[in-house]
Amino acid sequence: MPDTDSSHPLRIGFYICHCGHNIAGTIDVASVAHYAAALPHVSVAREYKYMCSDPGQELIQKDIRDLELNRIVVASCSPLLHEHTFRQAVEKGGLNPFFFQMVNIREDVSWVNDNPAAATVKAKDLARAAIFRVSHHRALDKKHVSIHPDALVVGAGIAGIHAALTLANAGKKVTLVEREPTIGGHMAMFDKTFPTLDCAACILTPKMSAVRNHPNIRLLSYSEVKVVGGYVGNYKVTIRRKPRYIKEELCVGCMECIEACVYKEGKTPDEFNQGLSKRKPIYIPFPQATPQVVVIDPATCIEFKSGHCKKTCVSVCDRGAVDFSQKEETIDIDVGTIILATGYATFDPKRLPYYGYGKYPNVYSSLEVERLVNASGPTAGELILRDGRHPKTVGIIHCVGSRDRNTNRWCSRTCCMYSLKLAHLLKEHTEAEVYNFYIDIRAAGKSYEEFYDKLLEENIHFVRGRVAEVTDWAARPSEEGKLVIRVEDTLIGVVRRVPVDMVVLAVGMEPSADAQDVRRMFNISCSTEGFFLERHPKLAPVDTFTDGIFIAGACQGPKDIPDSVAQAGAAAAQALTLIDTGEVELEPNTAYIAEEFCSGCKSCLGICPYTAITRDEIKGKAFINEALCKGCGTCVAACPSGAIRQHLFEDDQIFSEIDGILADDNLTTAGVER
Amino acid sequence: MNDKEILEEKKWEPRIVAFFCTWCTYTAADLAGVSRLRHAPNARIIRVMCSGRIDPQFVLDAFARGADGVLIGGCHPGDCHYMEGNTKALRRVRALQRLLRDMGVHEDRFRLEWISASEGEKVKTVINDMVERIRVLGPLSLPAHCAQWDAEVGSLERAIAAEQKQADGDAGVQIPSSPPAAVGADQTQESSSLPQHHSGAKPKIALYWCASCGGCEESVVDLAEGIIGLLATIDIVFWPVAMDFKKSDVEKLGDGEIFASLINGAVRTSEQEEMAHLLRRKSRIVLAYGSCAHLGGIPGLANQFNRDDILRYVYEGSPSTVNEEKTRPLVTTQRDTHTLTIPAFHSQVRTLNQVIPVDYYLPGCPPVPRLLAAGLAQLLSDNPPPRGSVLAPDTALCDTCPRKDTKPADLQFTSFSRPHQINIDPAMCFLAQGVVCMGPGTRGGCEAQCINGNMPCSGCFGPPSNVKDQGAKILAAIFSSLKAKDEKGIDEAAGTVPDPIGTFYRYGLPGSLLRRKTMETHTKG
Ligand SMILES: Cc1cc2nc3c(=O)[nH]c(=O)nc-3n(C[C@H](O)[C@H](O)[C@H](O)COP(=O)(O)OP(=O)(O)OC[C@H]3O[C@@H](n4cnc5c(N)ncnc54)[C@H](O)[C@@H]3O)c2cc1C
Ligand code: SF4
Ligand code: SF4
Repeated sequence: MPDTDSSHPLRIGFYICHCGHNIAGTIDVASVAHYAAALPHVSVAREYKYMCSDPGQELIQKDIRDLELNRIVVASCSPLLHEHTFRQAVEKGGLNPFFFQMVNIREDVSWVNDNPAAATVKAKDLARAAIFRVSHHRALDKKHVSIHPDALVVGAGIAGIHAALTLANAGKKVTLVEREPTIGGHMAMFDKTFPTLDCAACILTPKMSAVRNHPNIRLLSYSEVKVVGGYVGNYKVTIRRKPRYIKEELCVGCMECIEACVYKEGKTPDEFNQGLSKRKPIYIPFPQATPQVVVIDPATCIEFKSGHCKKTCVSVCDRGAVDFSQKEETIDIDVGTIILATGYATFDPKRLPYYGYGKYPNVYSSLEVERLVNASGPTAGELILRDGRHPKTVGIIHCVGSRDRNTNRWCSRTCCMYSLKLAHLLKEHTEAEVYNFYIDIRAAGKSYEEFYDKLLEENIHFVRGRVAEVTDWAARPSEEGKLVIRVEDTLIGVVRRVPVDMVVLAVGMEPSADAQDVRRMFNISCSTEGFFLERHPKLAPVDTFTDGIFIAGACQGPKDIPDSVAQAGAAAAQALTLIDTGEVELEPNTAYIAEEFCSGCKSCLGICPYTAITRDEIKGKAFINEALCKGCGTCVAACPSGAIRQHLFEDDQIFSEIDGILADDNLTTAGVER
Repeated sequence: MNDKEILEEKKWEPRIVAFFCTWCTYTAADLAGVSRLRHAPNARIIRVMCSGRIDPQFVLDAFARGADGVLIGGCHPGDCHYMEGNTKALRRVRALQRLLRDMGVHEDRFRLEWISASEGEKVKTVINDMVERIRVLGPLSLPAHCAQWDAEVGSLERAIAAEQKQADGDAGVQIPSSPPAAVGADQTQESSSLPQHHSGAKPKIALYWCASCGGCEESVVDLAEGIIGLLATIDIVFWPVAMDFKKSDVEKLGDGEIFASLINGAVRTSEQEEMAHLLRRKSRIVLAYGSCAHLGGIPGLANQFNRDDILRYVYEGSPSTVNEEKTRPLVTTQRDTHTLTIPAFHSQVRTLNQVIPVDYYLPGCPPVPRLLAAGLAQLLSDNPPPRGSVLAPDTALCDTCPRKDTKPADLQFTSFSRPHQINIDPAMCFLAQGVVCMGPGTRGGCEAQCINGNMPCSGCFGPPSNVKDQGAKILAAIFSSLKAKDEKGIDEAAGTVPDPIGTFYRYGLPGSLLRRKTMETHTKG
């Protein structure tokens, strides 16, 4: 086995990947390999079709053995993708895995360049930088941390519920945190779900009660995560439990208190019913709410406002569950992995005033209609408009706040399908004529196109065109008292006015209002639209850039229930993999003090965000607690003596990289003034 | 062919070194790739974990090695994956931008951008925009200005190394371009031992001064009685300040006959250069004596000005000068049949090791006698220190500062004062009083003379061995600890340091990474 000792003469192996046509199509890989072969200490330079493939990795291993290589450089894709793969290959070859450096010539060169000559020059510069750098690499030990077996799931919509149940069924302890008084998320509001039209409650309620009863799940509803600290395997999370003013362990959900409340009628718009009904200060969002525990809203409760209420709720509850003195509680938990399933928000149609939402009472958002057609909704499923009428014609406008440069550019993916569902339900409930105004029908999904076909047979009308306006201005007597939808029917090329009684706006899906705050707290990223960013769009769709934190459901992007559930299962599987492996390898990129050079000047002490640096008072020198250091390197840059170093990002490594980038022969030396 | 033509022939392309944090900007650059957003091929990315890791030395080093621009990319404020690394980066960058402006580097050449992981598009626009702006400015090519000189030192260095190799047998591992052991011109010095003094005769010593104030000579005299003991063990063969020696006395000596030459002062004129070369040839050891020879010293501050500006000021502009004919000294003057030559005044001040290879350095303005005595004894011993050593302790002054214990652990600077502006508490750390003290980034060994005189350290001992650029490092240390987090507050606090170059590079401008102010014409003609 070759000596990995750094005093051994350097023997560098350089490998450049074609990545099929991805790299070799732009970069002259042979020329880069040829160039690298001539650089100091390079013993071998090869090109290969797919370096990350098994034969590619074996090539490296064989060379390490046969040619006694002791440093490896691979020029291929981004290190964020394959650095780990190649380190492993290097290790299998018998070298310390950190005697390796990767050059990104795909994402950073061939994919962003059209000009083969310029791309090849750039690839050579970067290769040279890596070859210079790798000479300064040191052997390092891998750093392992254990994974706490408990998990946290944030958000209890269908995605969070499914993820929590999967983990719990696998025997892991799960804390499930839901902000609202009940779990269920958006799905709990629906009557039926596309494309099968099975009743949402029938498939969701069993899962909700499974959550409630699962011995491995601790459900913290009406709660929010406040602080997240630690790192993969060892997160410390502080959760804030808002007071319900009801003792959760005593309440059985009989709802007698609601009946007994001094308010005879509800006065506050009911959030769960999208404001289509009123609720009392003491309420339960919906009959199957989980946990089945009422809540008191202190903003509207007389006792909270004046302190002079008869408190009929208290007297009626023979279990003594009402407790006005309840305080906010904070709970600290340790978990190893976290799944974020915080869902989405719907587009606010008021942002498009020309559709008349908020102006004309009979313009509804799709979510409101979900409640209207719901048997347990505000009208018990009877379709009564805000003005008391039953609609005879309904227009459903697709893509409201989607596929539009002025609002959101993305397709919300679910609106076509739920619009078809609502069209069916409205027709079924009212026998009305239903029009769909669409740009394209996107029914890509198992049995989705068939559902669309079925609707076409149900005599639902489809008009292709983006609606310009909804107005109550009647141009002819037949439009009197109606809402008129103005649209260009692009299939027949005429501008049409379609009078209807009810307009449904198929609002798109958006990131939740607090998505940015949440992602900051959990130290993950958002994509441009504001949905949580996955580690890789294809290969790591539920991972994030923060190890141990996964994402599932609509918080990652618009998706329907089947996809949300599939993703939740995947996220749970990823978390399980970590938990069952028991430990995880961390980048050993921590900072350390070269004591002989430390003057004890204290410049670094206040700089570390994790207070990992203290002063050893006996030695009079700084000391870094490796367990606390996260390896940002801020103190390294600030140490005026160069006494703080960072593994993997040593000064000499970075300086040699700079040198390598700029050490081409393009410099002019002539004609300089003396 | 002039510079410009050569560049045109080689089709100059802007070269940008980009430091991107792995979490946001590097990921964004990957995203640009995945989204196939074409952008100019001029940026070369170096990945770091956090923008807070970016040492101002990296930026200066990139310029010094020929970058036309440096780009830093980090997460947006509030988004740092390490809480506030980007805030620290911002503080250093603002200070560095000011310093670079003072050093004549156009602001378009150094840029900080917050680019989140999702902003692949921004990577493209920022790089394209920067390349366009730099194209307008033209090449910066800092290394070109000194390339010829450096090549000369390099070839001398190689000649010495070759001789050495023959004497020593083979050398061990060679690592390409390791950072130099000592600050100054960047030459790869091989750490082989030097020829020791073996012969029976007393070793010959030469002392010479170049551009200096004479304080270094004074410090030799400060050995006081010690000098008598020294004279018993050595032979002084050349010391023009103290005794009547001529250049010809040195010329008469054989190559390598002098055991050691102690040369003080920076190098500005052709005469100094010539003498340095002569002494190098005749000596086995050259020791750069004092701050000026070591790093350029106070005379090195002249590197903030053009030669022409200096001459114009001295011969025309200064208030006490009357020179209506605008007469200037000429290097050669023809008078009848005589040709009179005076030394040429070079375009910039250089450290000694930017002129000839230097074996040892004795820092200080001036060096303290104790270190001189100890240094000489070491050189004369059988076991001399490794070549390239600076003969002073390698921990910063704070280590031995009497005020060390009063230094707070968490400084949060809001403004800085100069020593005359406040009543300085003689028992408290200067930094704790908001007075810039170079102690944390300057070698100790000076016996804390300034501190004991109630003046802050101004840096004359130069940086410890792990630092390439003393000013950049002190700037990083001090400005990382500003209280302000936003640009305005940072600029306000940093603005209270009136003269960054004079403060952070008082003794070390020629020996710093940038060496001199760049006389960049800010628009292309
Ligand atoms: C009108 C309409 C009809 C639809 N009909 C269908 C259909 O028929 N079939 C179908 O497949 N799909 C349908 N969809 C899509 C469906 O709603 C989503 O696919 C699904 O709800 C996504 O589930 P989720 O768990 O990711 O998100 P959500 O259902 O949004 O659940 C997220 C949960 O997280 C909680 N939460 C959010 N932030 C926090 C926080 N910071 N801390 C704690 N908890 C938090 C929320 O309170 C919520 O309970 C429809 C969508 C709309 C708008
Ligand atoms: S590298 Fe960052 S986290 Fe580690 S000790 Fe230094 S400042 Fe703290
Ligand atoms: S900063 Fe200056 S005054 Fe303060 S401890 Fe260091 S050397 Fe002494």
